[in-house]
Amino acid sequence: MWFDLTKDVPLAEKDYARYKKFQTALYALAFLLAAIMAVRVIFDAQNFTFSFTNPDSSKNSMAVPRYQGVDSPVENGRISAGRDVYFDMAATGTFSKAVIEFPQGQDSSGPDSGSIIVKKSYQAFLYPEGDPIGFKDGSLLKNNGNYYLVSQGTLRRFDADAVPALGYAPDAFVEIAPEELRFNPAGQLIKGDEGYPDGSLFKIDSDYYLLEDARLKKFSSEQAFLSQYGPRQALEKNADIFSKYPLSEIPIGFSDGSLISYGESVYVVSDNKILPINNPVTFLEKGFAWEDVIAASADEIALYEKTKLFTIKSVHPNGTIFANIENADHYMVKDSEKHLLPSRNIVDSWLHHSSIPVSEKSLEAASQCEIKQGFFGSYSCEIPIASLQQLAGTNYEFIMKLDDSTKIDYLNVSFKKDISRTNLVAFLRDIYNKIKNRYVSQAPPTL
Amino acid sequence: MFHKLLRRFKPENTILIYKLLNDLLLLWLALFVFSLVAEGLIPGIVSQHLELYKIALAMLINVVLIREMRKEARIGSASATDKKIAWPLFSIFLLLLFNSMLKLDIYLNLFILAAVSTTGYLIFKTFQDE
Repeated sequence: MWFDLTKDVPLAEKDYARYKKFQTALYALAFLLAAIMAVRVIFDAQNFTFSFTNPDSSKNSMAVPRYQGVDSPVENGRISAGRDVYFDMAATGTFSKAVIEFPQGQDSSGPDSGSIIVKKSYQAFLYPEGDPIGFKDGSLLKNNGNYYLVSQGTLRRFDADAVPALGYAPDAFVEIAPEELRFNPAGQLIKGDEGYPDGSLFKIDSDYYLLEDARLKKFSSEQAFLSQYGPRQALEKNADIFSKYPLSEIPIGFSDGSLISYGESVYVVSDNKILPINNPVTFLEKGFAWEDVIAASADEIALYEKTKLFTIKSVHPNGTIFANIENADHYMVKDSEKHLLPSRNIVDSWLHHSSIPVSEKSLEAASQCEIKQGFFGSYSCEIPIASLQQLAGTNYEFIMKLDDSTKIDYLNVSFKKDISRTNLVAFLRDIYNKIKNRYVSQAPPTL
Repeated sequence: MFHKLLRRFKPENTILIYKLLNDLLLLWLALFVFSLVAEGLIPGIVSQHLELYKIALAMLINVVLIREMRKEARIGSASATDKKIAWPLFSIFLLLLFNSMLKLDIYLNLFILAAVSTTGYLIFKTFQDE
């Protein structure tokens, strides 16, 4: 019996045969369109655009293209010959190629030739490298019988009898190599009769304090202290010390780069601000680890200014520490630069949670393409990126160099997937992970 | 104007188109329900590519066309409620509702579902009695 939704509306036999043919064609067409739609969903492309004619448009989905350095944007789409133009975007998925397109400018001829290279990593790891960073303030160090405290960035040596006079236990100091001393400039000598220097850490009853400007700043919790220092770095004292060093009203929270949670929200701490992470996908794609999340109290959350959402497009903030998986080098992000932490002891003075794994290979240009002019005057460049998919990071950085100065109105980048079994499996795995993230509880720790 | 256009068709063609529009409506409905379920499971999976309002708009246009063609071809309306399709649709509706309140306390979620089901059933009975 033929499938008919309107059996009560009869047709003559000849017309009914026609209806059957049309109905079959309609359902076949629907299944075809459904299959095309499924292919589009499974092997979807991600498109990014930037309009130089409307640079403030909310439709711009990539960061402002720029010359070397974050503070030198390309103005009005005018690209100078021979200069590298950087443009970055965060794309999630397993892509096979990226197609970069831009039109010929209205008042300029296009370039005769040009090339584009691509790198994939976290955007902050692609920052230029700044000076190495030394030990963190409050570090207790010893070398060749000398004892040191790092205070306000300087390395201050204790006078011969100052260590016992001030009550420090020699085994609280970390033995370091002589070459590690050079990363902090030398500061004033610490004398036993001059009191405690800035950067001294104390444990009074069960609370932790940092001495700064002759005042004791209280850590908001033991966890906040442990996010910055080791437990042996604090000198145990009783409450009498407050008569010499009054309590500051400014409390101290968690170290920059820490992950804290309150309720179902997880935040990244940076520069006395907290950035709420928008979803678990961003959390994992940015290289964070659930075991590093520290449950914070409402009072601790209130210490911070809550800023904009931390999304997949956001750059890791100041205080983030990357670890190179190939050579174990560690880098800290600070003020749009990445700084090498030059020794294991220096790393340990800063790092009290997991670092974010990165690959040295991601700094090398892995793929390249030559810009070609198309039939309709626009320029394009197709760059294979399949080899980059195993590298950690969500950020693709394209570096374009044109041989002639050109003015362009917009820039489009389209990430595409090949129709392949690998991409199908990756899609299914992604769907599985998304459903798992949504339905299987991954609640951050709570108090 | 639409009726003028329809009058140009032979009556058997109008009925044929009417029957095909009913099939098309089923396909739109299937797409809409599938999209809603998929969106409920993974938000954005369909709407990134095809906004749901477009499907709803297409369904609305389809329903209007069916209504107009029924008038033109003087086809009597089949008003009987098909309970075979009503119950699966109602179950999907309840599942979607449960899914949308997943973050709520489970007992509050179930209470709201029970309240919605009872209210829906009573409204349905009221209209049926009339």
